[in-house]
Amino acid sequence: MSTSQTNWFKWAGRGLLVAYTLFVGFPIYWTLNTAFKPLGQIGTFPPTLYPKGFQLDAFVWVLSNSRAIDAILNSLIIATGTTILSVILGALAGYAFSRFSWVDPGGHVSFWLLSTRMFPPVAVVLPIFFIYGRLGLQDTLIGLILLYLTFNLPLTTWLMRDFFDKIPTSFEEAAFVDGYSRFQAFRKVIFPLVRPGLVATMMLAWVFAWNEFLFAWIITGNSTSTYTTILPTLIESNQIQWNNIMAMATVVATPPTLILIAFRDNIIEGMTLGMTDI
Amino acid sequence: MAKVEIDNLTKRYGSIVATNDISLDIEDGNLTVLVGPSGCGKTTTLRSVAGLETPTEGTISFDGVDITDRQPQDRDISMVFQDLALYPHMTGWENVAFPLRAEKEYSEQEIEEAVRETAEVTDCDRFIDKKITELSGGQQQRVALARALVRRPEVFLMDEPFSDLDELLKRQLRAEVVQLQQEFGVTMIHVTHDQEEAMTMGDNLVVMNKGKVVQSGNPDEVFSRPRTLFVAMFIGSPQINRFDCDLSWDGDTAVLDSGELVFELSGDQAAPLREATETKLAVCVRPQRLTWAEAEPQDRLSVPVTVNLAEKIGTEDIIRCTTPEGTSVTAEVNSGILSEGMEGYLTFESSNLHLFDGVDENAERLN
Repeated sequence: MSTSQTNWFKWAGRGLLVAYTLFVGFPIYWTLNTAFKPLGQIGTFPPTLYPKGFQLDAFVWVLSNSRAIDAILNSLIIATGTTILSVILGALAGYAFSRFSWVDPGGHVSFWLLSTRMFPPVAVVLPIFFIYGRLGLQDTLIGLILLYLTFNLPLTTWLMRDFFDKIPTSFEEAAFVDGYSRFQAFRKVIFPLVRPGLVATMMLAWVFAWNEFLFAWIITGNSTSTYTTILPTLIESNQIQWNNIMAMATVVATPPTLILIAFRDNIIEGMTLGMTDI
Repeated sequence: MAKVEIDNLTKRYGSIVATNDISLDIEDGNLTVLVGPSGCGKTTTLRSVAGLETPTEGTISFDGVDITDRQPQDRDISMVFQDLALYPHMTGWENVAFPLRAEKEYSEQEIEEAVRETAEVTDCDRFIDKKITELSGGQQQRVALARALVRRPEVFLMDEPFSDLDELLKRQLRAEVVQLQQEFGVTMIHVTHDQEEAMTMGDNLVVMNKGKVVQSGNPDEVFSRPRTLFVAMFIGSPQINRFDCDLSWDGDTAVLDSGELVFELSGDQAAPLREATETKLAVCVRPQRLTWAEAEPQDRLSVPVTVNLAEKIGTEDIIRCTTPEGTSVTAEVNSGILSEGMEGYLTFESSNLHLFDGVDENAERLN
């Protein structure tokens, strides 16, 4: 009785997982399916489940169209720039919050750091648009890097603080007693232990900046468009270039996917925040 | 090696006083044990010697040189931490070599040699190449010791490193540490809350309570002549027997009455009681000083008891007894002579009594 019940649960669980996998996986499949189809085949009914006459035209367009390439490059520069800055600053701030209690007595500073995540970003779009206009930061790469920094920095600071908190202070003290300076102790002892967390934090920051649309749409102009702002322009009044949109989606989804695969151990360790042992 | 002097050390955290005006002289090559209940300031004292805490007031000097304001890096000390603080991303070998790599003063060959030698004396050469996470608690302990000893420091500090080990391993490591300390002739300060560990390890015992040094001296002296009631109650296992008695005088005879038990002291034994400022006194006697008698003896003091429990601890038994009115008395007697339910007398000489002026923990010794 109990065995058959366990089996029933097991199979129901698996069924649910399969259904969910199909639900999540279908858009990815359809993106690829559409990207490889000739434009004429996309609107047909019933739709074809695989591309008849496999075409690379859309990918050729993405990789040869200067607007698309420039946009991807802009996204790359902005995402990487903001990641480097937010991880360096976040790690330093996180270390200070973790190790020096006088920096933040009562924890108010670190708490209100998160305030930028407490309201919908759209609430500040207009003020920022005007401020950036005054400062001449509209349509500049550095403008968007700084803007994303304000959203990424609280996240990286908090994550890094948690990673540093996981490392006992006695590890550093032991290094001091053994003749190492604070900086040396950080480099030899703390950094190697915090590295998985640092990598996970970098990934999160990078993916946020890479995928951001709203602010990019408002702040950037022709010279600094990111790929997210290019995609909607492919929806034209007389036709929608579905194959180009899907090919571009495939291209821009590749870097985060590869990054996730390459660093998956670090990211899982980082995400679980102390659930796996250092 | 160095002589360590602590003068009037006070450390305050806001309104909390961790150590209050502590002064200690620790002789060169001496093993001093700081012992006391948690929160007594022993770890703060040790961390101040290490330079990990900055004293609010007072000075610390090594061999007459004031090092109060020196960074831990510049003190030539080493320390074994309570959590050992071994680095999990390194092997045992790399951990032991770590202190030698701090400054570029040693060649790889010298490091290799020093690590091997230290690993041998601390008996961790068999597993020194393994990752820290692959080692057992006792093995990690040995690696931590090796790391602390490899640089041959002036002063060697230990902050309750044995607290997580099982009893047998604890005893073994204690003995080895004492042996190593003597072999190297290094000045060592050991902190523990375990009074038994303190008694067995130290040349010099420093009993602390509430941020102050209550008594310091060699372990035998602290055991046999505790200076305050706190020390009497804290040091010694099983715990000392204590009877709170009212003092009255019958001519030259002092009468100590607990309400149930009455002890009469005369002559030299009674003389110190003349100094008493309180009327309620703590009268204590060590379980080890009690002997069993079937009948009430005339020439010795005694307490009538019934045996409740006999715990075997080898050649001796610890027997837990109660008096007819329910006062608990513990005695340590030769094994096998007593069993549960027996009635008789626990007797002792009046000279075995520890008399304290009052019943609070600060009550001073009278005799």
